[in-house]
Amino acid sequence: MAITTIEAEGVHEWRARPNCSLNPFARRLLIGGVLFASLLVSGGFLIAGAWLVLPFAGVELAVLYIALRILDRRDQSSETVRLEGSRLSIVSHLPGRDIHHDFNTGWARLSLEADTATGPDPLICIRSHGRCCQVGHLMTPEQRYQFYADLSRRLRS
Amino acid sequence: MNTATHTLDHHDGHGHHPTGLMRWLTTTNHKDIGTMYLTFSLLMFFLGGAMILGVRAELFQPGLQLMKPEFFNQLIGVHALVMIFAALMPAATGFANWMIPLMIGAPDMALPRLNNWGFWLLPPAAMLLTMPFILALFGIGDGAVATGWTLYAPLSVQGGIGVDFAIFSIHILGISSIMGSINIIATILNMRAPGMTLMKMPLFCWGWLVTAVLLIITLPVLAGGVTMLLTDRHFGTHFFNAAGGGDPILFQHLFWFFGHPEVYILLLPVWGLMPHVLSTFTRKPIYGHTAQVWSFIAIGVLGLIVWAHHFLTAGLPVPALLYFMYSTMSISLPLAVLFFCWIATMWRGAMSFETPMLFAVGFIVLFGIAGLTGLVLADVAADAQYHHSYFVVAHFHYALFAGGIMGVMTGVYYWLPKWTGHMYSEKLGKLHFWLTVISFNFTFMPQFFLGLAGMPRRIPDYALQFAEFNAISTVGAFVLGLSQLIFAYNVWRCVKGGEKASDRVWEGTSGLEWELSSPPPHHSWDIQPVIKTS
Ligand code: HEM
Ligand SMILES: [Cu+2]
Repeated sequence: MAITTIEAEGVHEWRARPNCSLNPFARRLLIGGVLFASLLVSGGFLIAGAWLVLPFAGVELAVLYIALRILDRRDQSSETVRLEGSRLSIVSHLPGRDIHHDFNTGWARLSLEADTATGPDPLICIRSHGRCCQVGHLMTPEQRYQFYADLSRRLRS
Repeated sequence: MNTATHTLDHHDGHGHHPTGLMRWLTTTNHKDIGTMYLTFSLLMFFLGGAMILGVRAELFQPGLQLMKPEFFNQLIGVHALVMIFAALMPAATGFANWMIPLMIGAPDMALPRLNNWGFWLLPPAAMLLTMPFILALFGIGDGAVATGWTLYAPLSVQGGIGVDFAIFSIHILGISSIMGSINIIATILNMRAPGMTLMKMPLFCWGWLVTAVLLIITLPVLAGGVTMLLTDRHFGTHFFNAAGGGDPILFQHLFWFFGHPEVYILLLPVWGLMPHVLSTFTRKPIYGHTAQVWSFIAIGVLGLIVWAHHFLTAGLPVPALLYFMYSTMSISLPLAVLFFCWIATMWRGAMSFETPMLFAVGFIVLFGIAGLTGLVLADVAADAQYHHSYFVVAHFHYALFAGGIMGVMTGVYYWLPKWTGHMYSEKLGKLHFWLTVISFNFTFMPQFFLGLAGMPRRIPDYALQFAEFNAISTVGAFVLGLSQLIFAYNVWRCVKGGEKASDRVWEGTSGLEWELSSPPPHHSWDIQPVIKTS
């Protein structure tokens, strides 16, 4: 989980992305290697008459693939909070949802609220005019507190 | 390795974490799950130990004294399955859960929910394995699996309900291991702190990475093999039935294609942690990090192509015998590289012998005996005499008790202060160590000689000339078993309280995991650490 902040004239941007140390090439190499070894083995046993190895290997590789796909989707995600003049815009790409919200800094209210779906630690909620937007999915609890403090300070000033 | 970390005041206890039983049932925290794995492992270690003390008691004297041969066989088989699948493997997985995120600077495992499921499959699997003992008390079935842990056909095709229970138990254990492996691979590859390249990754993580890949490649073979056994038993197939056109040796291929890599699966995590311990207590950097990484990989690859050395006497063609003999012996090369690196790490170091270091040095010496006797067994001509004798039993206990269990104890003493925030009792630790190594050798050294003299394994009765050495071995085993109570007590005491441990715990530590507090905060690495390139 890495947060990058960009400071420019009148603009402040936070961008949280999941930390990902596996590049796509290494991922393909891994999947390819395991697939190759596993199919070689189950193919060999198939020829020897032990065909029941193959289905187990198939199921297992499918689970591995799904697990890596889930991580993949998670790695594509990002949460960007941009503060520019009186505009506070939130753009988040999370697995299964894309959210874009613009708030007026004068009306936006910040709070920390726990959400049962994401675990016991609270997320940052930004509200105004009955609309609510959550950020912090890609931050560790500690980073959320820090970001919350940082953003509230800037909104007040 | 230079590490820079930012620490903040931790808001411990923020948010609403469930407490009590619910905490443990639903936890996705890698430390909680690691603790559960380790606790489960310790319980199963005592269960498996109690079973085998029954066996050793029967073998104290020639003749049948305490139990029927059938029950004797059940104890042997379940002992091995429990020790391997429920004690040693979960201990290594517990280490992985606790330490990998701390070592690579990740806040948790990559797939926390999968992690929780992986653990909670273990208790039902252990129950399935041992339930037939209890069912037999009520007159249902004839007890647990009595074929030995190898489940060889045709014996296992004819066996009672214990075999079916064992098959299902193995399936569940396998699913759990696959979940664990996928999670560990995903974590190690995906969640390393920025700057921690694969070659800079701690050796413990490397050992586990190779282990996880081996599990993924070999477990389907075991699952397929035991499922074919099940269909042979109940659905009229003839995979292993010669009368029906099948081949009982095929089962041995299936079993050992998994079984041999399994011994590396049990040991690679230990080989990974050894250099950390040695480097800490010699106050020197690890010697040959890269060489050890490549040795792990070489052992992993070679380990996949030597399986038939477990049935060299089954009538394989001569070219196959030669191939399996030489390939097996070639594993000693990367293993020797590891031994060399361990010793070179200690060479001229400022050594001190706290309990973890004692266990590490004990491990090197005794595990060396396992490797050397393994070479003897790999010799086709010699194995014709030693196969299925007590020599093999002694060999693999030097490998799995001295190599595996003592390795796990090294890790527990080394990391316990980090986990609990307290120091264990050094006095009790040293007592535990000396009682363990001495009684271990009293238990298993005589078994080498019994094997050389021709005593077969897996028998409840034996010829008179084997009496003295068996008596020595039994006394040794009881001392060994009882000494482990000291270990359990020491761990318990340390969890409950004691002298405060510092964050670095030991003087010579290096690595990210020692930069966190002892015990580490509920969320480790809330702030991403960064590894500086030096
Ligand atoms: C250089 C290293 C090693 C060599 C050359 C070697 C070789 C062998 C051979 C040839 C056998 C079969 C003996 C027989 O049944 O006739 C054997 C048995 C065995 N080895 Fe090793 N071994 C080595 C290291 C290890 C290690 C590191 C472990 C465990 C972590 C291990 C665990 C076992 C076990 C469990 C068995 C017996 C399995 C059974 O029949 O139930 N060995 N070894
Ligand atoms: Cu082997």
